[in-house]
Amino acid sequence: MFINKHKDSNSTHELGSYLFKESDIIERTKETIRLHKRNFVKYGLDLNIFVSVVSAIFVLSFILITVIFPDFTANMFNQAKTWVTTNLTLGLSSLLT
Amino acid sequence: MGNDQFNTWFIIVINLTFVSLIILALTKYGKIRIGYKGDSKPKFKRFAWYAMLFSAGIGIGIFFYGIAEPIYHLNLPSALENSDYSPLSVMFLHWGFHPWAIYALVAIGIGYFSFNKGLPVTIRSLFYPLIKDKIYGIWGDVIDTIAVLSVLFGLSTSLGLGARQINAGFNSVFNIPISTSIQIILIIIITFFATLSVVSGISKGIRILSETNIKLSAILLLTILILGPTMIILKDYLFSFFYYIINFFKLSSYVAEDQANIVWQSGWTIFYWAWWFSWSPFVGLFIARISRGRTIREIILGVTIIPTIIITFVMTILGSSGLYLNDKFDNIMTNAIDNDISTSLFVMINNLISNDIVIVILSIVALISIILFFVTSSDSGSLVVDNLTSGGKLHSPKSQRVFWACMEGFIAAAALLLGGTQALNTLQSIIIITGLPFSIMIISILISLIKQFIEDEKKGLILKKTKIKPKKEM
Repeated sequence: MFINKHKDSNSTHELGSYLFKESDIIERTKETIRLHKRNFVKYGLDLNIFVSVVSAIFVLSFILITVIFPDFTANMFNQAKTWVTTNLTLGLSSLLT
Repeated sequence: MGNDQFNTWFIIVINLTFVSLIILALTKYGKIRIGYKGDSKPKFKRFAWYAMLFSAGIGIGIFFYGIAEPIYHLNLPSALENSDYSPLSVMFLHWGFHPWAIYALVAIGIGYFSFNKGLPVTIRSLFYPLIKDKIYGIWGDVIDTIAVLSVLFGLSTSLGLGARQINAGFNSVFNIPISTSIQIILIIIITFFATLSVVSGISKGIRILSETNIKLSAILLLTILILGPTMIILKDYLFSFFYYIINFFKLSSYVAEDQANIVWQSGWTIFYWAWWFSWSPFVGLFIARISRGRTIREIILGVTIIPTIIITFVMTILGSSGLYLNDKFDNIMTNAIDNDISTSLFVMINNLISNDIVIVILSIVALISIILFFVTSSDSGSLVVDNLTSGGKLHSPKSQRVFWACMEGFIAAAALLLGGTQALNTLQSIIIITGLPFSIMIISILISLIKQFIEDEKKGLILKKTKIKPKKEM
């Protein structure tokens, strides 16, 4: 059993002009499976709770705020855009001068 | 280093990405194939691969900006205006090698870390060499959340632009009025079809729709090429492309200094760079999924060079025809674009062709093509968001894809509710804001990838394949 496992983890597989050691891939895959086990799996869903919930809250808030306060949203985005383009266009130049 | 050389963050990042990728393609690492066991051959044939690249990539924007952009560039900053071909060359800069280089970088990163090394198929995996096992914790979650928001908002912006143009098409062909409520109804209908496509998966719905879309667009563009000013288009393409190549570094490193030019650069170059950054997690992850079995060099060359040559030609067919009509009919295109940019394609078709039946047929083909670009962008985007929100699982429940496809539609509809120019400005602002965090991530991805290649080689995880010569029989 141990010999087989040992043999497997040291084997390689070919991709293009290179061979990849499988031990590294197996180790990483274990971690990936562990990450997937943290998922919320119920009611036909399979979600990473943090990523899904935070993203959904952001999106739904944007939709609600835009529908309820359209002028406020438009102003907010325009100001943010101006900040990004002004500071990242002019700010860096003063940094480098 | 003078402040006139590198004083814009987006310009630094995008140029660094392009140069690094070219170097990567030339190194020995270019021979590494993306994938695992059973990926010794590409999963998709070349036509299907390119069709999906274009349809998921920047297809929807081509018809929206293709005609208008060179007309806007008739008044370029003096540093960029050296010849009659400058407007088209500057457009090539925005749609050429640079955006595709960003997509290729993200695709190679995800492909290598996920398919070759067994990490989850999400953006967090790209940061493994920098934060190691923290990618499995809260830091990884935060990275994926930023990526999800970047994809959703970046994509919704394109869908918003697409809805405006589809409405303009219906107005041109069927006299349906241009209004926000019509655009929202269109978004609902088209999102429904995108949902059906995404539920059927990459190999069925997305691939079939992408291939159909490319064929339809090719028919439309070739017809415009043949019935339009053919020789002018061909001449413009050759000279503008030549001008783009010989002035490549000058165009791509241009940094505006006075206020008027800064406004121009923010509105065009920076807007585009931000747009491509915000799309990079989406298109990059999608390209990675469809590129298993291809080498890194093949992905870099295939994703940057071929699409650039084709897209610049397509943009010339549209842009050059628009410029030709503008000269011939006393600024007709300038007036149409000033009035409503989304009508430009249909105004051009109406004025370029004299036969009424051909006008109607071409307008309908254009309309279907834009709708299909809308559907293929939305379905592949939902698939990617579903990937990210399920922790990188390739096969997650289909109901989730439906939820995210609907969210994209809702965001686009909400932004359009702002109405008219305000809606367009807000959509553009969203792009620039969502592009910012990803431009920072792109630099990290670049460092990550280089670090990982060097580490893997040092540890002996990547071994050079040596041919064993058969022993001669004595």
